[in-house]
Amino acid sequence: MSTGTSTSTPPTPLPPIDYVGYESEHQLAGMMALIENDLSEPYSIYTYRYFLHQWPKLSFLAMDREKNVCIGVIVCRLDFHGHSKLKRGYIAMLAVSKEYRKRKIGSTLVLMAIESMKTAGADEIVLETEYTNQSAIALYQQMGFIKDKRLYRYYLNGVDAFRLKLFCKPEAQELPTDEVPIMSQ
Amino acid sequence: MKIMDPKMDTGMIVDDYATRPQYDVNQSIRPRNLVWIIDNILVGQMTWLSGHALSQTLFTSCYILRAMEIKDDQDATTTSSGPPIGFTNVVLKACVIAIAKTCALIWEEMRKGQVYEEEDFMTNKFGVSMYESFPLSSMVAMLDQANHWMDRTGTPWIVAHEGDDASAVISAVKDRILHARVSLLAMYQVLSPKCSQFQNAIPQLKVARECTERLQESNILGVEITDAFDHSIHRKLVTNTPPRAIALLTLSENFFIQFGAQKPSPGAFPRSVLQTVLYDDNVIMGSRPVTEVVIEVIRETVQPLPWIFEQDSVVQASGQLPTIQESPEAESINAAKRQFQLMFADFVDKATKPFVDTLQIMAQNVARQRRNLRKIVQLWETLQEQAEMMDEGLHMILTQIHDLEKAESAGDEESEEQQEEAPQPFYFVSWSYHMKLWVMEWMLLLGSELELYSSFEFSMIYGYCDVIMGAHARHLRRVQSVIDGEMERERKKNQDKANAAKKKKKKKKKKPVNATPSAGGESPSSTAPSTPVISEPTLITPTVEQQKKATQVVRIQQQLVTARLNLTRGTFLVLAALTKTGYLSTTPAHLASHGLNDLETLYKQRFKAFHHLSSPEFLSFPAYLERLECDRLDSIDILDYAAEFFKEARKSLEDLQTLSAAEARVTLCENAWRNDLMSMIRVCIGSNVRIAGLKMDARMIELRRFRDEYFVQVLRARQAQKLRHLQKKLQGPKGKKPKSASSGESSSSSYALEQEQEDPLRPVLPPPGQMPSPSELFKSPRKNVVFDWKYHLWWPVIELQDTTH
Repeated sequence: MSTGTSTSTPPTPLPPIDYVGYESEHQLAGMMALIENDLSEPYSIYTYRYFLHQWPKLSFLAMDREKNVCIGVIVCRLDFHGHSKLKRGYIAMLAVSKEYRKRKIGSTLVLMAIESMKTAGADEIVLETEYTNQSAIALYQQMGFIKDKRLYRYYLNGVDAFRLKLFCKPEAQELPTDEVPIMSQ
Repeated sequence: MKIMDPKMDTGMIVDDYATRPQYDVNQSIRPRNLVWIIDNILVGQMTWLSGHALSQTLFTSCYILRAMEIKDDQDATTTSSGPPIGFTNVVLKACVIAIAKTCALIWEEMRKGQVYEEEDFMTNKFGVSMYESFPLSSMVAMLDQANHWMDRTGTPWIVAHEGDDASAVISAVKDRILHARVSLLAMYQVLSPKCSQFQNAIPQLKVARECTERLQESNILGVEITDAFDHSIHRKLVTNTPPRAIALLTLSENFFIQFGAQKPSPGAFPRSVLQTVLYDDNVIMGSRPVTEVVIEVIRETVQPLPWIFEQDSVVQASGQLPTIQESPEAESINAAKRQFQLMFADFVDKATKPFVDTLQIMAQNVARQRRNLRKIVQLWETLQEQAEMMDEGLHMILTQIHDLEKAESAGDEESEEQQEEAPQPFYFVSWSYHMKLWVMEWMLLLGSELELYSSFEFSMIYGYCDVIMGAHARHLRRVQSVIDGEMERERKKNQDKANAAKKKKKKKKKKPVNATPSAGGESPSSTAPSTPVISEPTLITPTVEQQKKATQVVRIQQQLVTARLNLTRGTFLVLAALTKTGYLSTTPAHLASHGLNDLETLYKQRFKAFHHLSSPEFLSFPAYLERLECDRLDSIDILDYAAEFFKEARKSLEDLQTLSAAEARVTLCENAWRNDLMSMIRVCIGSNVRIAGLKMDARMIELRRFRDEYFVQVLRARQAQKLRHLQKKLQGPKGKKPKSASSGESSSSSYALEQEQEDPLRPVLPPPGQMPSPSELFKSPRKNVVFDWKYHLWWPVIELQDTTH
């Protein structure tokens, strides 16, 4: 199957995609190759291991079935936020190979991750994205994320980030967070 | 860190770096090389100031790192073959050390931690010396020496070797010496403790600015010298974070605008200096204790009774040498006053933190400002609780005083009556509440500046902002009227005394004191219902006389808040009109599509910081939706209202423009203040132009037609009902005059229903529940809503654009 981006060729059937959970480090090389290509931040292998070893169930891969190549990946974390009782999910990395974009692979991965984090009791889910990355922002806004904060010069390349947030439970707002001192309850 | 990854491993040898020969800092250089070297060092300095690591900026210069290796003892005049070594060891050395020393002063300031490390600025010096201990006087002497050397030796050499360009090259070199000198001195003076040298710094900064302009012009004279900068030096100066990608600023692009201009956002260094100047060691602006400033701000804003501040005089007057024999009652009042003054001092102490924090926030980067304002709102909320106790305490004392005065003036019915009307003031709550509201508005509008809001959120934001500003404008009006009332009473009291002195106990006219409804006892912060969204614009039309003596802070604040309120209301109404025509939605399709979120949750989260405030009352989601309904008016009607609000805002802003800087108390920032007013006026003008266009939009017209049809139906139904009613009444046992039905005098229950139907005296849309969906209602295609922020970062000018665009 052609991996070119030319649109003049007659429509060929799109390569079928399988979505799988993270299982072991044999998947790691493919994931890293994809992410290093895609994200501005340099990550060491320990960054990947930090996430994958602690929260293996929160990471998913999109595979090109025919080539058996990883073409999309999402890596997440779920933890108590600061000293609060709030369980905060965090989407650390999301990448989809260029040739496979516009096929809702990113959205599917995000939805799978959100579902798994919600099942595990997440109150809210956050992530950061470059403030200029319109397509990423649009993707997350489609799911109901809002831009909660702007982070000045967040990335090593000096670009600001937006902290995007999804509220998983309507009642979550009653819980105090680190942002607001605990007031009379 | 991952070893042997060239991106991560700064110690990895990727080329012949280690074997490269070291640059010779003692080589003789041509004056044009000198120009080039100094300019590039300055570029490094400015890039550092813009937030990059020293290792990637200033320290890339071999001269900066190794200036002390330049030998002084070489004969500065030798001209055997090349240029005299004095260009290197007299001029360049002096300039380089001066620049480094200037940077050392900056570094000292930045180390105070008033800006965010990494985010705003990087202070890591990698253990490299910036000649901190080099005495300032020797430094200045070195630069003067360099200048002298230029006159004696450098200039003749340049004249002999540079031909037509000689005079330009001479000026270029001398300007760089001068620049190094004035920059160093100015920096030293600006950063001197307690702003003691500010006056001296002003002329230096002026020269520095002029000099900078000349540097920019003569920059082209520079000639590159190979290897004078080592851009891989960060391999030696190791950090615990990977180096950031960096693009050095170009001289023309940024260096010269950096210090002069405020946009885009000011750099970290001026922001830190601003904080130091504002507040350092409990002192504001280098000269005034912070408590004194807090007291003054309270006094200016709410003008409490003078005795509260006269701590010493009361204590003294009652403590020793009482000139007048005080009655026991008066004594006890004085004791209570003293007690209260102690409470007041305590309150001022407590107010310091929110006050200083709020001031300092202004010098942070905008993203941090908003994040920290969420916490500041809380501080003011807490202070407001303290303030309530203060006001209660004051009320008790005032009651005592009142009783005493009543007893003293027993028999004088007039003054007794007068005092009955004296309202209970809420000075402290008033001030805290005012500050809190201001912080809330600031926080919401900064979100616009930071581009945090999606288009479907804007009506929530401006709707909420409208409510806060409405409360604020009402609050300040109340404060103003309390002050006015007190002044009036004071004036009358004095007049009475004068009159009494003249003609004892002669009858005179009495006028009711213009006590305001709020002054009656209701706490100013109590949550009065917010003004309905569709109402006349809030007007403040001060008379010319009032305007002239409008030195009162509160009056100007009130005018500004009212202008912003009208601007915000106008914006909200435009958003409401666009919502009714389906161009904006309160239930965006995407929110529902994944079932992950709903608008009410988003709404609550967005305004979480306001949720548990005692005042103003939280605007609930249903209440917001109701405001967005705008009394069932159609979009064209709503836009007409919006236009009125913009017009009124513009009028207030133009009034404010006529104030002098002193009247408006903006002497230090007049330009910024005037520009802001102008930008707001542009939003008003721009919006009204767009509104005229929006009113002709196809969907607006379709909605108008739909409304008219509905209205005809309502009228018909009403006619029919009336008719039925009339018939019923004619048959009924207790016949009433049919007229009473329409005039609403009837109390019969069947009439209530009818009255509800009659309510709309003007045509309106059906109730929200009965409205068809936009897709059913409109045949005209959807358009995109465009938010234009070019006039002001806080208020957009909104228009529609065909989706084909």
